Amino acid sequence: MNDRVAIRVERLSKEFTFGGQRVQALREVSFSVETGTMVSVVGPSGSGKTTLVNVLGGLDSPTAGEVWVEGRPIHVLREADLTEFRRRRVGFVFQAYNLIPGFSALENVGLPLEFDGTPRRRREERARECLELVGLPPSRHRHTAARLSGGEQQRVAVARALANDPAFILADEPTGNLDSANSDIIVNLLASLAREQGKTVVMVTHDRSLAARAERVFEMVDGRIL
Amino acid sequence: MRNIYRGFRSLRRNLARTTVILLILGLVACLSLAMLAVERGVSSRVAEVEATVGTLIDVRPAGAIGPGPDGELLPLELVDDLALLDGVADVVPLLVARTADPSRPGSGEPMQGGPRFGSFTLGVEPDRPLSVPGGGTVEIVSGRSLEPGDAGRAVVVVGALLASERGLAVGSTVEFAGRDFEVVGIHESESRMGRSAVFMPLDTAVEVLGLGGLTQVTVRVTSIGEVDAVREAILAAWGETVDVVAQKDSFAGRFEETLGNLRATSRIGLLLSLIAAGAVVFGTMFLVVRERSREIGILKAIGAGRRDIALQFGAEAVALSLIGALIGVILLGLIGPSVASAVVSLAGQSAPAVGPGGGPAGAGLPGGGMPGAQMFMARQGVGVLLGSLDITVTWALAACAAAGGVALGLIGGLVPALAAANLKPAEVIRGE
Repeated sequence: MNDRVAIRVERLSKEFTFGGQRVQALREVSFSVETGTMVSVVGPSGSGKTTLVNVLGGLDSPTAGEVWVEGRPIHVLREADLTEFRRRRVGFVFQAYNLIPGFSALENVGLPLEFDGTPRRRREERARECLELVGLPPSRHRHTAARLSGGEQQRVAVARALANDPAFILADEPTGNLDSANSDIIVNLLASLAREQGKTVVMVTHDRSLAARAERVFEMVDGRIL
Repeated sequence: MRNIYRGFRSLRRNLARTTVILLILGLVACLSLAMLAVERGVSSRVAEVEATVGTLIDVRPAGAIGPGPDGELLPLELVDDLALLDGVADVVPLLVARTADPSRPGSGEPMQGGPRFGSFTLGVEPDRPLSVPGGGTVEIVSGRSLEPGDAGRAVVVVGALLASERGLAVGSTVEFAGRDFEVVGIHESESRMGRSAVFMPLDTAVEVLGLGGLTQVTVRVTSIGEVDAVREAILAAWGETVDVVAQKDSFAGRFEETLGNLRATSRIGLLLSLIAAGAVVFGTMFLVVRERSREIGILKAIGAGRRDIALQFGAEAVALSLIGALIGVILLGLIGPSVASAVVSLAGQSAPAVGPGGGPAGAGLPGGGMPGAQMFMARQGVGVLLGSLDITVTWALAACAAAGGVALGLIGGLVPALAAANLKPAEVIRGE
């Protein structure tokens, strides 16, 4: 396998039941992504974008096919190994920010480090670094999620995804709830992470202009990549 | 530890709901603790009754009604004969004489400057603790009690009321049946009758009163299981001349039964309140897990393992029930006396009817040889006995509540916490 290949997906299929209906979310999808690149996945609702990201990040298991990440067969890992994989190698960013209510920006960013057993002092230090990297002013670091704007919350979510210094950033509609100015900031941030820090970024979006900022664009329709 | 900290902290998420649930848990915990306190108090009383009267058998002359010598007396030799029976641990003889009533000729021996009419003179073995029939415990307030060396001597221990009325003090001399007696002690007891009672050595009483026998012998059996056998043996040997009453079958037994019922009721109440508390914790945590399922998915996505999730939600359940239990302790401190009062009132209503001179109380008066507490109970009912029931907050009770709260949180929160730990992140994030 080429050392530059970070993600390799072969004939990946995923079925699940949703609202009593059987859904064929992915149909024999195959592709590969090189290390340090940013790819975007576009497509209409229900085309399988989120399912693809979930399987890549070890949140969901495939029905058929193979997923190799950094040479590891994600499709056969046990739950404990998947937890370890998510904890150390992957950073997730979600559309709805999904910060923990009542926790400050610093505490939210430090959460992945808590699960990793990082001491409190080091955790806070790293959380500050990440928040500074995404441009959240120090005066906002101790504010709870409810006191931050949507753009600020999404910056905190990106900072949280970076806390464990993961190799992969999987962002599912990270700009879905943001205005255009904040969307630009977040997408530029993700692009710079790939370009400057060598992280592999997979971003799901329905906005084709934002998708075009990525080095590659996968278009999905009915569970297939066109 | 961070997982546990997050669990405790999560209680602040929805303060209004948490407050309502904590108040409900506090009330249930208060009820549980009250039931526990009642159960312990009643168990203690039952143990006392069993230990003190459960193994006693009263032997009295056949047909005797009152406490005094109103008919045949028991022969003095009966004490030694009873002591030889299998299963008998001790035999306590008693001679009770009613002091003369001037308005009733022949009602008893007069005492110059001595007891008022209607009070009792008791001949007891001087090496035993004094017991006042119907008056609770005896406390020597001046001088001393009777001692083994007093056998055959003309010495008395008089009640405080009598001493006050007659101007008696330790060292005074009183004349009784033409003989001078030295007052060696003054006692105090709970009843008016007890405070007028006069104790003297048994052999002195037999000689002075000229009765030549005993009004009652109380037999203490080695164990409650031997009571029936010993009673049968006494009836077989002396059945025509004596009445035999095993105190476990008389009023004491009936009170014990009432206390036993109360204890069983408090145990059921305790069990039901614990089940209710467990259900509240379980229901609350189940709701919390459902509400926060998406958050659980997010936590898993950013690296939380099943153990992290189970610990966080388990800790939240423990925190909830622990704080609820401590609120229960505070509530118990506020309403404990009212609960005790309600329990005593309830017990009083369900206790056997008693009254002076009739029923169980009459049957046990002075000749009964009952310890003071039981006589007191007999005269005034279980409600009065439980009047001393202590439902107050102690460190032990608070510690018990804390331990119970933790245990309840672990039990009630176990299933919801495991359910949370087993949620599949993609499904809950997707919104299934």
